[in-house]
Amino acid sequence: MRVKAISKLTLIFSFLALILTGCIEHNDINEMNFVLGAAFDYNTKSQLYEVHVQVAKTEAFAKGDGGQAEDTFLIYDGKGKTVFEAVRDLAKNGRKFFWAHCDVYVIGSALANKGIYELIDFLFRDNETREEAYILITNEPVKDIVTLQDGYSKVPMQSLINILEQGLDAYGTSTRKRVSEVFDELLYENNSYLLPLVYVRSPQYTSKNATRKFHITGAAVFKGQKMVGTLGPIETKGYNFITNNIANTVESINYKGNNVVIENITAKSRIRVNAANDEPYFLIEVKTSGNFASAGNPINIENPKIVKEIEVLFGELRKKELVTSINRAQELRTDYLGLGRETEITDPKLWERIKDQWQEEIFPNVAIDVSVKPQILRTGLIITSKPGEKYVNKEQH
Amino acid sequence: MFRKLFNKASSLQNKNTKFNAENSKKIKNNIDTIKEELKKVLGDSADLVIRKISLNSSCQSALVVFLDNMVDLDIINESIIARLQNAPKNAIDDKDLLVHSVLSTSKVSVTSDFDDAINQILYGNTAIFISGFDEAIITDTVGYKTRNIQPPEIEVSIEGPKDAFVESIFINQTLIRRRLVDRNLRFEQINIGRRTNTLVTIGYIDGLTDPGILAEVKKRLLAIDTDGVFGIEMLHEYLADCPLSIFPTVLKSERPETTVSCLTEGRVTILADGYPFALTVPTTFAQYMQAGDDYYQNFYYGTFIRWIRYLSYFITLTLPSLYIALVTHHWEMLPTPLALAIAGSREGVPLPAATEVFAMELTFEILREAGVRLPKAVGQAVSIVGALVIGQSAVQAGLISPGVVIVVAFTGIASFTIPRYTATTPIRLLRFPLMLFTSQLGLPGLVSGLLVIWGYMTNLTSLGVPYLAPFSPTMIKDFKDTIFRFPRWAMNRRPQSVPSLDKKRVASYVPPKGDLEK
Repeated sequence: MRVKAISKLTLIFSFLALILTGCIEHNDINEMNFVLGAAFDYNTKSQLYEVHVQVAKTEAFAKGDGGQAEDTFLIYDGKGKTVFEAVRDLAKNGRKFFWAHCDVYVIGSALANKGIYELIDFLFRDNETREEAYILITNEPVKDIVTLQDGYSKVPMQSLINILEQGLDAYGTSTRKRVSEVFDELLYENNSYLLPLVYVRSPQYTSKNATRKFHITGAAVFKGQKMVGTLGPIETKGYNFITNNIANTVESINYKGNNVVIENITAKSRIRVNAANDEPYFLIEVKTSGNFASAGNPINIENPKIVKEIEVLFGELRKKELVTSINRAQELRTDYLGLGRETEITDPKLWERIKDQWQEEIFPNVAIDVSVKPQILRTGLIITSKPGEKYVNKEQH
Repeated sequence: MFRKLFNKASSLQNKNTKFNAENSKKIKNNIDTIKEELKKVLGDSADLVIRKISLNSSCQSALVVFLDNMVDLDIINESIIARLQNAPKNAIDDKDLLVHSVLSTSKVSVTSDFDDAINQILYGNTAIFISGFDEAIITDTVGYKTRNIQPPEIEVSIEGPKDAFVESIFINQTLIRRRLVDRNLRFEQINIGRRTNTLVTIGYIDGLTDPGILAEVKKRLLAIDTDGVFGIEMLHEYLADCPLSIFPTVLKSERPETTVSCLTEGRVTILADGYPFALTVPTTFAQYMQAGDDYYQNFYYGTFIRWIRYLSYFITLTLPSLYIALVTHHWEMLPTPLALAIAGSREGVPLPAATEVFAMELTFEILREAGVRLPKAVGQAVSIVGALVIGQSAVQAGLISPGVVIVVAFTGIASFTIPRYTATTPIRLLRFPLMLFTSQLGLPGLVSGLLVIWGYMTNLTSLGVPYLAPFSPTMIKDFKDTIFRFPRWAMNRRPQSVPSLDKKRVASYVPPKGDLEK
């Protein structure tokens, strides 16, 4: 009987809810603008935030309407003293803007130099915007990013997600960050981190309507909420190896005049912290292993000695990358490698003493050793591409 | 309020039960009076035959009374009339001798109750009144035409037996008994309906079925005092624990082997003459998701297909509401490409999404009903019109968005996977209030609606057995034959949910290891 009473009550309350809330405001799905990509910038002259959004033109997404050369997306913009005002300013252009499907944000260099805290705060606080959206930085004019049509995605900024999620894994010279991760970084005071850099590039040959392409490479270095510099591809790659962000990339090694290409397959790094006299020093161990992608003007890779030599060269190359990245970090006085955090974990007391001078004074001069353990695993599907031929360097052994 | 009405109705019933006992009449020993009385009771009905014969050309005469077309005339001619006319002299005055040695029909009984004799005539038996006796001899001569046993039409199966119940209760009993050769199988006969006098049998296995359940079934059936039985669903309405339940709580099946398996689980079956279905009680919700084919096919597949059915049941109930919720309230829950595709296809559609789904679901129900009602020859037209007009033209004209057509069609198809037709009717009805809830409140509305339905189902019982057993209350052992279909040797116990006197079903079985003894 008790169950009966409860179910009766539920029934009554549900009906009440139904009757009393009869005028809940709701729109149908086709009555709003789906924001699929947004670019934020700051106008230093007028001191206003600017937001440019790419909105899907939904008709173009229905199959069978034969959408001929029609626009598949629309660009709207808004301005305001704060980020939120700029976003609300958009609404003057048309229907309600719906942000929950927007998963990529690009930040212009002016805003990046001014500081991104207000923007990240808004993106993380608002209930519609998604915290797993990607954030990118550009040094190009924001206009170029927003108006670019690469002919691939119906809403072009969605291509950025493809590059970040799939393309990036094959070359590894950039990084990726989500809003929530940037928010985490901002929680630490004076923290440094990297955000991917996006460029606009005009390829040599293009199809008719897609004359320019997005190009993500390198990274923007942030200290706190401000951008302080940029990293090139090699430096970013080194960073990725140190922070375990990468597995697959390509290296070419000059072995006695032959170009041998190694495809990196796995990588694992470990940062060891040692402290002596209140001065920490670091040992970064990177295990890196790869397969032969091509073996030059055939080299006898049946010979373990030769493979060993190539392995050593491979290790040296990797070490050079890592050192370049570390040097650049020290030069910029930004600890985006996370060494400070490692110190805090291994020796909290020491960290308490040094944390205030860490980034500016200690980190640039701290001793960092790099040890690389290279390994070549497999030869690929063939041993040699010239069976029966003499190996070029056979006589040398 | 309804409950009060029901109580009133049942108290009225109790008053009327003594009706038959008071009016019983003895049989007179004068043939002419009997003839007059028969004419008075049965009137000048055209099919009433009262044949007067004399026994062994003596002055002793007899009346052979039967209804034309209800009887097998060959039996009456050869085994009754011919035998009586040539009865030996010494048998003429001796009723026992007549019954035992003269009449050569298989079933003979003697009654002194006039009303009973009349009833027997009405059932197609033949009554013999002999002058000087104050009793009538009743011989079984039923010989009316019945439909042949045909394949089941509603509960279709791929690899199952191809016979289904027919309208004749006797054939139906045979169908059960042929599959259940058990000396303890009992059929108890009662008559229900003051005018229809429908034969109803209660079948059970003595020593297995719980006597309490059996007694309760009998009590409820005997309490029925009404004009007549019209459709087996009527018995369901009298048998159900919760008469106002929207969910069926008495299993209806047209497949004899389903009924047999129910009997062996300790359930009680009810057959009614004239209706090609058997009812079984107690019934649980899980039974509606079991089809015969689960057992005729590999058990892995049986389990898989059962899960598909539970999923379909859920889809039928919730998919239209879910669509409404996602399209009118929770746009962020759709994957981006899907959201854009739906939004794009809805561009220019005049109706709000909720109204659209509601209208289309109603249209689908109309089409379905039209398909059932139309004569078979015209039935094709409905599907053509339905598919063309609703499916294509409405979309092309931009009145309906294609997404809705897909949702409605999928909901309809999902509802066809439920093996028992009666199980789909409640969900087909309930999805409309659910849609209403959801269109106003979004997913919280859908969830609260589902909770109300769930709570309601939990509360239902079928002859004391919880409707949602073995899920709630949870009976893990019963999962072997509800959400799973274990091999038969692993189902070593009868369902826990149904009380029975013998819990054990199979002797313990060790699967062979595969190495033959040398």
